[in-house]
Amino acid sequence: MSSLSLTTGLFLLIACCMLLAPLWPALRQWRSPPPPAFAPNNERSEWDAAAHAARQQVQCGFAKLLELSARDGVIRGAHQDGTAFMVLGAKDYLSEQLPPSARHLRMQVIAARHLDIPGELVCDRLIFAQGKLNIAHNAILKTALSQRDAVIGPRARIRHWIRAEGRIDAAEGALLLGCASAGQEINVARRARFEQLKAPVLRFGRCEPLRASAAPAHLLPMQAPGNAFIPGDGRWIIDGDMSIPPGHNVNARLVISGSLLVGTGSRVRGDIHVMGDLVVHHDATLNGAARCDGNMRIGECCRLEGPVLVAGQLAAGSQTLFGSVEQLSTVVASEIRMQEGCMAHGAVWAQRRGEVLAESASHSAQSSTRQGTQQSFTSAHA
Amino acid sequence: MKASRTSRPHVAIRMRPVFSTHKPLKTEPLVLPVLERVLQSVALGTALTIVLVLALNPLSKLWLETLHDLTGWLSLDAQVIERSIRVGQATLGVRLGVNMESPAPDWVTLTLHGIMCLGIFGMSWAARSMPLRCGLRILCGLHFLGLLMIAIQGNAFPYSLLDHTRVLYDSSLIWLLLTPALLATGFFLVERSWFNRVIASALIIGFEILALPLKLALHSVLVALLSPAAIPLLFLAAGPVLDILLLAALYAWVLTWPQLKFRLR
Repeated sequence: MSSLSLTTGLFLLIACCMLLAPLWPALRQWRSPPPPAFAPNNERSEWDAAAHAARQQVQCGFAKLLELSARDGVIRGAHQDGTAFMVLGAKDYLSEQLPPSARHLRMQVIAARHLDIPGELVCDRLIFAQGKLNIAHNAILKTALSQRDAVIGPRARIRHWIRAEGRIDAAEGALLLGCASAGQEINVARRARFEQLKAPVLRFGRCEPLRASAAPAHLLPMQAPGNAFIPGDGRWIIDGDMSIPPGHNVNARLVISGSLLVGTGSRVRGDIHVMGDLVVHHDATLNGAARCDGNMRIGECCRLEGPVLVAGQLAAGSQTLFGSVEQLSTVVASEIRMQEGCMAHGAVWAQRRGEVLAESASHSAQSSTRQGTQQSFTSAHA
Repeated sequence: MKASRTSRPHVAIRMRPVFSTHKPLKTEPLVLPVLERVLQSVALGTALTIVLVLALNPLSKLWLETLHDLTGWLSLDAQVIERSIRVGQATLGVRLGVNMESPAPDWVTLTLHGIMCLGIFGMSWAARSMPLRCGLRILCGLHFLGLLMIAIQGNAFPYSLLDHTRVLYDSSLIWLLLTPALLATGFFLVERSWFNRVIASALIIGFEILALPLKLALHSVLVALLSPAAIPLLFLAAGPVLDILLLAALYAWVLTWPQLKFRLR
């Protein structure tokens, strides 16, 4: 065996690197972590963990003080790290404890009973109420925790999270950044904006009782279109766009490289993966999960029973229902625009921005949808 | 009316713009896409094969010059042997091989290789990654078997670098000429974008063209460094098997590409 010179060593290194370069993408893929799950899993999220920690802190550190304050009135103090706190008794009001010109509160507020946050107050510490929490107009809170209900006034703002064991009512123009979670129900009024909402029942705007779907009783079974590849495992792999005519039933899982249009009153029983846009006309039903790499638009009175994951915008018409009480669902999109009257069960997560549209703003678009579909239906039959 | 609705569903719904941004959906013809794509694949595969066969002569000259330069740069005491590939009266190219005078491995060399083999086999226990561990052990096993065969053969060493490099050259050339056909039976059928097809084909074929002289030079250097006892291992681990592996890796990578867009500014 001969000795190794510098030139030979250099050549060996360069040649090996060049020859093995095609294996680099495979190695990178092999070393990369597995992709995230389709929907958020059941593990406790960051916000839930923060709310749980705050609850633990109050239960462990303030139990005695809450008993004392209920009997003796307001208690003020500070933690070891210098964070000030105020414990309010049953008959104390926060507004009475603040100087008249105070607009910024830099202390934790723990209330033994109900707590009213005055309007236009800014608080960057934890707010806790054992009773009901009323946040007046234009107030800005960082975190809030209530053992019962929470009411968020017009144009009030939550910066990190809010948790109520009962229900949360957000008034018109409220802004819920971070996570809002409730044990029973969350009502978000029109023109309110949100990021993450979690509750068994989520109502957007003024909700009238959901009307029954106007879908025909007997749906026609739909045959696979010509550009579909059917591997035999219940999937239709469609290269291009697809449209499901009104009143048809699709009993397959759909993988579509283009756009999908679900006609009025139609039903898709399987999961859907659309790589383009997804348009669902009114009274349609999707029984499975829906994943859309483009934008998704949903007409009025639709039912989406499975989780929904949209890469772009999601616009939902009024009376649309996501999930059910028995089976909570998750709706995730980059931007969510819910028309007043929508309802969801589970979690609604707008990664960038979520908004509840007033009925008047989107009424014209929805009515044109209905008319357009009716006309197209009529022309097709004619 | 009913029959037409079920057979051609997109006829039944002449969509008007539903929302302001929604465009009417396009529908593709039913049978044509499959036939069209098969024809495109066959045509592209055939065209690429013809181009490669016609370019074999200049490519051989390129490889020959590169090999000459590399052996000169590396100061290898080796000769590049060329032999014409003829079909009838036409000369398609040159068959290359590297010849080098190297003594047949003696007992000392075989013992050193055996100890090295055992050392690497023992070190494989320290590797945490299962594929790396298994790969090292397989290589050690193959090399040990090769050494055993050479020891049994005695002085009549059956391999020469010239034969090894010629077989390596032949197998690489056959792979290169078969690549368009392989792409036509898979990649061209799956991929819709012409730009993706052309770029991916150019990348794969270009890599094979560039890798061929480099591989021959690398094998020659390794044989010069490690003695001809390493030829069986080099052939089994870094010969046609590596060609297949690299082609599969490149093929898998180009399949994951998104649709590339060609823009003229």
